[in-house]
Amino acid sequence: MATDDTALRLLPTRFSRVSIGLVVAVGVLVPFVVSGDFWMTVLVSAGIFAMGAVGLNVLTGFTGQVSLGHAFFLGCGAYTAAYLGAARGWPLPLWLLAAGVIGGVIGGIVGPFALRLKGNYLVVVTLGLVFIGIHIFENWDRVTGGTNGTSTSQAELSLGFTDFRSFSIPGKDFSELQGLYYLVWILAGLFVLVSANIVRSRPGRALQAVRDRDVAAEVVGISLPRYKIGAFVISSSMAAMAGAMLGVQQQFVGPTSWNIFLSIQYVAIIIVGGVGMVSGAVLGALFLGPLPEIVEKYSDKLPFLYEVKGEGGIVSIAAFNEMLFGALLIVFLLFEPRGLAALWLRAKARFRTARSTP
Amino acid sequence: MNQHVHHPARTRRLVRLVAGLLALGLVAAACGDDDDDATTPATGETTAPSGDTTAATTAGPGDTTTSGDSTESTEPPPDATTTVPAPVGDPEEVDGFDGETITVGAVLDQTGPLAFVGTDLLVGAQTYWDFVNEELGGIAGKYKVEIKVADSKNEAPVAVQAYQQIKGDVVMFTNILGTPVTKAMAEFLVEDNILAIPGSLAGEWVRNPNFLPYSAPYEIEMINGVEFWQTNLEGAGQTACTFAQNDSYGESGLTGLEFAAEKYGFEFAADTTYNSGDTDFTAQVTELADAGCEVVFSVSTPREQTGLMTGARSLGFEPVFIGTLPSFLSLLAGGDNGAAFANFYLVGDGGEFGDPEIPGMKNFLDRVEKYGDGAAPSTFLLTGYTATLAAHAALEKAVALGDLSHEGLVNAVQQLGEVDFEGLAGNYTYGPPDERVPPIESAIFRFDPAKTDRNLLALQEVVESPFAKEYVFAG
Amino acid sequence: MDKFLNLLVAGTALGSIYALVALGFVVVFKSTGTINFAHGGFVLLGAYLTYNYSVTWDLPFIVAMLMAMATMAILAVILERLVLRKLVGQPAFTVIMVTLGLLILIQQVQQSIWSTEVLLDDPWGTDQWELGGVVITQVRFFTVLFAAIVVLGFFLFFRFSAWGVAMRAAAIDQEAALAQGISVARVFAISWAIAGVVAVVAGVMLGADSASVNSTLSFSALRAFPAMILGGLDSPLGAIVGGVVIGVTEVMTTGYIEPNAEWLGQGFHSVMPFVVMIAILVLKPTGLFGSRAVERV
Repeated sequence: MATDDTALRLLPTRFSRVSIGLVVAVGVLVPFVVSGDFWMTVLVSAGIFAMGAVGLNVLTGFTGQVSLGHAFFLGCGAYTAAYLGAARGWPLPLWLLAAGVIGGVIGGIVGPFALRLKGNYLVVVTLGLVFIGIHIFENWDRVTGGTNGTSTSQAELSLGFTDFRSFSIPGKDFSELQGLYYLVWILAGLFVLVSANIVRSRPGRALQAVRDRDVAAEVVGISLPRYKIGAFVISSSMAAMAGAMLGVQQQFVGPTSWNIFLSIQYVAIIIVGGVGMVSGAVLGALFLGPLPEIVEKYSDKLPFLYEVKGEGGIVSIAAFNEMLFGALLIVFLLFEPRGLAALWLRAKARFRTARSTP
Repeated sequence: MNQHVHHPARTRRLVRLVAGLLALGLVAAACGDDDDDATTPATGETTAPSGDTTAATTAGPGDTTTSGDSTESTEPPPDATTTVPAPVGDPEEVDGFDGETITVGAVLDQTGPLAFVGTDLLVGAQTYWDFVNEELGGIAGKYKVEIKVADSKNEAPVAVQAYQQIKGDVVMFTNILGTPVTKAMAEFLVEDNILAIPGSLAGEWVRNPNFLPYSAPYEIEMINGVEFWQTNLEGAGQTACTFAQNDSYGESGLTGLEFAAEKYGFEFAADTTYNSGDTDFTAQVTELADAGCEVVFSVSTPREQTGLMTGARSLGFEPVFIGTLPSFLSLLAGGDNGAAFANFYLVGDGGEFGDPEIPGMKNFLDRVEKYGDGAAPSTFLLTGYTATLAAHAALEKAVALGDLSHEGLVNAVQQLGEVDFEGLAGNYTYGPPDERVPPIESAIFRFDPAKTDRNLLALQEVVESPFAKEYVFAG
Repeated sequence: MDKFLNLLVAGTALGSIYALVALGFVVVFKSTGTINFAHGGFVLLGAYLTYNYSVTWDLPFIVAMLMAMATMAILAVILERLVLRKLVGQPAFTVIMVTLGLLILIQQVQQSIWSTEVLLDDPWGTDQWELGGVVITQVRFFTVLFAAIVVLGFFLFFRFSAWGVAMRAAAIDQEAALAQGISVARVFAISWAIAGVVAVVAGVMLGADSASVNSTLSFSALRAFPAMILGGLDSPLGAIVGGVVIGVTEVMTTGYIEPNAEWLGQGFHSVMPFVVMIAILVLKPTGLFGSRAVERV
């Protein structure tokens, strides 16, 4: 995001106020229009991806640091949801907050070590973190269920006055999926707000200074370690809360899901969406998150795909999805490194120009 | 993650098979090999003799369903039983059944390191359904069967989500891969009351009403493995040890081994474990060697078992290895690895792979040739095929009872008697979960480098431990 | 049998495999300054191509391996030219993510072509030698030998060949190298080609060690990272030493630490290298032999 004055206001222009309002309105209305489980599931996953991606963006987007350790923090959150939410029956706000706190604390412990390193080295160290994380998840049986994993289907999703598993307003009952949809997107919205505020704040501008010019930032008196660790803590905390929701949505948590490919997925989301832009993280999540399900749903329209080998076709749907993912990552980095958000900004600029030149 | 290298049929079961058919007093031709004949009654299906206690109390004569029978009758056989109150007509349209086509679900690895296993299991299942659809006209001669597949990526949570996504589109789940995945799905299958064929032979599925297991459980395999060692290899007094995968699959085999150790009165001198994916086993080998192990019982998967044995051999340590069904893959025993298999025994079910004397095996080979789209018959293909025999029996029963709903299928299994796996696996007596009787015999195979077909195992012995019957499966 | 010595031999052999994999990472890092994650995919493809030429096409093993090396070298150069070349000057993480994208693509392509695990028809038999209670198998002997040959080759190449000198120059300062008339583009291409060639050796030895060639090889390759970090990202000699240290540490962990410290959990040996790696990065980020200062603030 730009660092000029307009960026200091959350919603600088009328255009942005109107478009944000529209986005929120559409978001609220979606469950009234969409009732099919397929699309709701897709949107819930996208919402969780958005939560985690907004979190990762705080670190990568604002400090230029890339971490492949995101999966580890997501895992910490998921097991918190399983242990406190499902096994111990804590209420929703408590286990969700606990996940955030645990993620933040671990981030605060790991951060100072990890952030002494940059670039290639940080990537490799966070990769190590993921391997160590899986080892802990596999062996801390009492909490994680060990290699067998543990169920989260009993996790409390009630807020006292309303239960996201089944809530209703006069004239409409919502399904569990629709409830989850609201829950994750409200959280994603909060994360976006928090992260947009970080951008505007003094620390936020400092973080971007860190990203752009390490040494210069230090010279003008920006305390690098403090802000960088701060970014790491917020990022880990958001990741853990996203992980908690992911654990609940999956209904089951197992140790090997928190691997580097999950981390890559999140990095890919912010790259495809547009690194450094809060809206990019959300756009990326909405685009990449549901892609595999959509490809699968419309696979019969793509003759080169097969579901069962021997039906004809060249590659299986699942393999194609992985290939598509790898290819998109490469294509975006090569041809549109600023991601979907940049495409959107360009479209917006064109729209404005068109309007101002009657 | 378990790869189920499934084995083949047991020749010595023919006597029992024939006896069962005589007791039925019908379709003696059912065990005929002439599978190309569309009038052959469906396989896998024969069922309990009426004298069988299970069948007598629950199902009665209705149990003698001869599915897809020769007359291509449009009605399921008349049901005389009083325990099924509703008049039996065409099943209603329900999830996974649109009045014409029955859809069954598969949740298995389509990507990742076990994708080739998942693929083979599916081709095996598809081969069998092609046969049912083409030659029998479908279930009850009219309902075609289709498979809906979801990728589990060897991850329990992915599998649970895949399950949630397709559960509304299928009548039951017929192909799952792996103990952890099955374990994760179990809770949800019970909650939704949906029937599934488990993706492993762990004993914990035996008493679960939402599972339709087949073949002898790992616990029984290992008890029979101990029997074989004690009796046939004259192992009494020798030092025995274990090598197990560090997960629920390993645990189920170890449970059987501990039971056997108590019954036969010995103790294991060393217990070693490994993590799936390990490649170096020097430490386990030295521990086993230092303990002076003369026999090592393995609850493992092929890569690791091969790694253990090649590692042991390279250190000059060559005890007898006795492994569970998933511990062996012919492919890995080829070439230079072969030397390490000299003292390897596999506890399995059925007879030798490719043995045309076994009726089910002959059918299998013929059908793969006909419907397999060029796939080479493999042990995994056979596993997918064999599991589908059980699914076929359950679906026929459900149609006969006029209810293809999720509940209807769970109920159908409760009324299913003994199912004959044509010698591809031991006959399994279903019925209410607490009365189920899994096969308790095991076939012991020995590695045979002289064999040239795809399976390098030769049938050595069929054993049944006197204690196998005593093993109590937890409810 | 002597437990310690046998574990030492096993660890050295395992470490040599790590070293062979790490050398591929090092050669690319040395000239381009990026970690090429796609190298894990090269290792995987190298092993399968060797299988394809030797078993499927029934060619002599050594010919098959040479052909696989040629194929991989060409493929690596094509990828470098088509994809990586466009990223010169981009931040490290952009390049890393592109190589991760390539890794994912290569893995799926491999699985779509060869769906099963396979056995290499390799020439080293099951023969073994015994020296005072220590058993050395042929596979292990060759692994160590190849690692030594490759590292010696690297040393000679960088020291004495014109391209080696050019690569070192480019690694030190790209612009200055350009000014000296060195084609940096060609240097990049050559380093990728070398990585492709080394990947075949690593893949074959990894396949021989883990009983079969299968799709997890690319994942096993990632486990060479600690070796590379320990040795310093840009030092071939460091890769060898780092590999052996990490390999021995891993095997000794199984043999001595795990039985006595159950609280560390089952299979702690597989994360031990990463624990060592993190400790090294925190204490001495340049590794044991690395020359390039790690970027730290």
